[in-house]
Amino acid sequence: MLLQLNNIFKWVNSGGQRVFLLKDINLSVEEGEFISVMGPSGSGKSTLLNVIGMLDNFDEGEYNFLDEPVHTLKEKHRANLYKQYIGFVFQSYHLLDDLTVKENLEMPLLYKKVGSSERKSLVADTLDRFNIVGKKDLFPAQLSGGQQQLVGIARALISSPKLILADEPTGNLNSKQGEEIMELFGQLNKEGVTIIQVTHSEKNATYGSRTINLLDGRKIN
Amino acid sequence: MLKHNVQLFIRNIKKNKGTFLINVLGLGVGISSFLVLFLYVQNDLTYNHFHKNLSDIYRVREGEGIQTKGLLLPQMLQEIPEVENGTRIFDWGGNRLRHGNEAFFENIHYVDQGFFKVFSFPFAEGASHERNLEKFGAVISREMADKYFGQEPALGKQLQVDFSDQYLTVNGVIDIPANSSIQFHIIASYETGEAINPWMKGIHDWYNTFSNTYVLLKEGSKPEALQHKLQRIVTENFLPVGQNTTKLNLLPFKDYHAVEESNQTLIVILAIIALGIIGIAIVNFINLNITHAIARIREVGIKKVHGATKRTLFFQIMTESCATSFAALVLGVVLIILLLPVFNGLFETQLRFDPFQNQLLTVTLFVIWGLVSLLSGLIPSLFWTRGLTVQSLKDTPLSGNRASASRYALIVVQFVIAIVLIAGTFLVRKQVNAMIEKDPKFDGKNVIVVELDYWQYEDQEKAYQNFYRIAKEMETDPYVESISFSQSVPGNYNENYNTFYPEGKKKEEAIGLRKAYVGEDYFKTLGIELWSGSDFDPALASLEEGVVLNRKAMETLGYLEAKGQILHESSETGTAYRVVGAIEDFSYQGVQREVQPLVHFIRDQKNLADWGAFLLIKTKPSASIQTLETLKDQWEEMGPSSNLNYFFANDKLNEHYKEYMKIETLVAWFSILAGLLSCMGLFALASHSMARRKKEIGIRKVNGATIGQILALLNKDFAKWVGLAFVIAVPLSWYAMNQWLEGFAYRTSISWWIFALAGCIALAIALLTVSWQSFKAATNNPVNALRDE
Repeated sequence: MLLQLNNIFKWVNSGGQRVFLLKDINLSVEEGEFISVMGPSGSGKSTLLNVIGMLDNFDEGEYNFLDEPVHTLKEKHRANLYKQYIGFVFQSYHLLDDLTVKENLEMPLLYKKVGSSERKSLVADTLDRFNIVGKKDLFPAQLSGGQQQLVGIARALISSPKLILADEPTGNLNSKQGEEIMELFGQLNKEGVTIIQVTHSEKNATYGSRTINLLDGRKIN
Repeated sequence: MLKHNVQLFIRNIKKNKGTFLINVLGLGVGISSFLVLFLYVQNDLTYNHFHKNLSDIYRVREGEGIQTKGLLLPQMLQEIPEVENGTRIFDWGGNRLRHGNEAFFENIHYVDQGFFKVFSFPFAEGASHERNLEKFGAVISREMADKYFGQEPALGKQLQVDFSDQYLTVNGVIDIPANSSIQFHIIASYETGEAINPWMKGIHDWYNTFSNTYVLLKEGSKPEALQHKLQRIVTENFLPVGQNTTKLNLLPFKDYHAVEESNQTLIVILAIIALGIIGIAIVNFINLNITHAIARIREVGIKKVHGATKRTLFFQIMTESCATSFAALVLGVVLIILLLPVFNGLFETQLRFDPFQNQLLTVTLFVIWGLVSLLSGLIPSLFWTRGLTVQSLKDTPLSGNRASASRYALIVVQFVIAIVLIAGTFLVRKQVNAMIEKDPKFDGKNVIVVELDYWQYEDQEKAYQNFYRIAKEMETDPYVESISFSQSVPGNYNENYNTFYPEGKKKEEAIGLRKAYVGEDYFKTLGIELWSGSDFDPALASLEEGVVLNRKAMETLGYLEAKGQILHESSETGTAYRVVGAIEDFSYQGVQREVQPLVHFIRDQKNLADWGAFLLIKTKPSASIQTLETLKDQWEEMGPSSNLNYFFANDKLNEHYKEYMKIETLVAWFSILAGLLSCMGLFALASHSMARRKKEIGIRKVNGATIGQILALLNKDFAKWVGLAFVIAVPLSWYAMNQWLEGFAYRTSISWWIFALAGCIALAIALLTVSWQSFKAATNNPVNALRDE
């Protein structure tokens, strides 16, 4: 068992009323799964993903990650946990514009205090693995959307996380690029990486082993 | 990690060159101008601090007067044991001094042997010892040494006095610090003075105040404790004995500059300007940094997701702010090194930027650096580390009403300073113009004043024959209306006062008159109008005993007409003078000073050598060029060594306004600077505000607002703040102007247009700055603004 959500609630108060963003979510994820989260706009997909990624808090319920009770952990401890085990992929890639491809890959390692020589070899391996050695000195603006997302995924994977969280990874890409990215996710999953993706596309959802549908913050299947 | 931070920082600069440049330039300029004023104020506040015994040195004053009787010091040394030492300075003597081919007229200061015991001037050549001031020994300033001896050592060199066989030997050269109240070129002993100028013998008595007197008290002596002893000297010696009520007092020499010499209002104003400028600059710097840091919130979010902690983020932003403010500091230092000589030239100061010598300066520099780095790093780091990662990733800058309110408050403060300075510039200008344009009541434009420089001539008799001849020749020139010799000319009246007792009135109505010696036709030549009575009439037998007063003296004495009035000098039975006439109050000194009662004595041309210093030539209107040509030809015959030095009568007077013109330039500079810096702050705030209102503008445009309407909407907001600044600035500057004008006898009015103009200028520059941004925002395609959704 990689992670387990029990009766998760999240709400905001708006105009004296409690508006639920997540309502009684229960979810278990096993290692090696590839889950697609679907639902209309505002159904709470991204919120769920942020909660799983520990970037956002929830108001009620329990969350266990690798048998650690996340809901009782302190901020710092929680940060260490996601730093170590979770990689993020974003719809708009979120690469640092001022850094080259190589430096973007290196950035998370710096914050994990990885030694210089190990950093170099990790970056070199990753560049190799994703076939982007030729692009290592380019800046994000010099790459196509698909290439940028490729770098984004490479960055998410560089410290070998157990879980990849992808928020509409193909949302800004054309269909061909999107397909390539999805192929890559499929392949990574086969190599043993657990993936949770948020998507609007039925087609992309088929890459996953399981689909969760959300509506108004509730799981509906 | 540091390498990574620095790299990111450098790339960031490259990408945002404009912002970075404005930021560094603004703070750099702010720092350099702060430093200039800092040095100026520091220089003023540390006047005379180089004297080792400073706290025990006092200047003796008679009441408010800083001139004292010559016999006072010897008496004090004799009677008051607390007075350890002392020196007089007598600077009434001037002689020609020559070494080789270099000859100049020097105002020799005669001092007592205690001079170097009281004061500690640093010696550049020689050292302080007993024999420095032996007979015919002299100590000179470095400036004078350079003038006479150039690169050669001055020690032991001889200076010929006039054309006699007397020589002064240079026994030492001293470096007189620029901020010394006591400035001279050459000093020698009284003994030497009496040998050179026999008239000095017995000149000191218990009536005339010819000397500056300084005393060194024994350590720990309180001047108040000596008061009764001082007053005993007054009672026992001052004339008239027993009846003199002069109050002697000891002014601490450390306060002397502030009390007697410096313009304290100006120093306070400059200190406030300095703090204001550096304040504006720092606030801008921090503001721009915050704006910039907030714009980078997405970068922070990404870093957080990838494991950046509060500490690493704090470290990053501190590296950046330390580096940026260091760049500004370096720029500020470079600027001041470049600009200080210009400033020194303009304001005749000798300020030096020397952080190794001036510890306070170094400390101040580091405090500024530390403060700016810390503040400009700390505030954004709070923004950065606070808040949820998810929010920062969404790219929406954190909104905070309190933060923006305080930033508007800062903009208001900046504009208050700018408006006050702009209005101040106008007022100073108006005052200077008013003083220059005030009718001086003499003909300043058509009167050529020739300096006789009689000291240049070995054969004085021959020289004066020549002066007479030239005067006669010039008088026959068709372009010349009148000529006169004189000891005084407007702008150059001697500080020579005495008490006069009007006949037939009580002793209490005695009046202090400022004395001037003039030749025949002086008033006619200068075009000074008579108010009552007549001019000196050479036909009258007792010419020498007639005097001409000015209107102020007449009014003070309560005389309605000049005729029949008699004045006695020094005492009720002193020499009697008949008042023959009274002239209008003309500007014999700068009109910033109150007109004093004057008395003019006439001197006989036959004894010109005793009193003549100037030859005045009045030409027909606009004929001065022709007259000067004639004069130059005439002067040729004076011999090859003589130079013709001349000026127009109003030149000398206008020199009295130079100080105020300097202030005008200074205030103008700093008002431009304050305006520029305020604009930068406004620019940053405007760009921030436009970015925040992007969506609002888009929605308004989609719903039919025109560009003009949007512009008005955006600019109105800022105009409001400038308006508030104006409301605060008007009473502040009005008060400051009033304070400043207090110091002038003749003052201009504080007109409403000064404030209106300053306000309009401030509003104009503010709107221009904001419009730059708002026009961009208003013309932006609304699709761009709304697409994010």
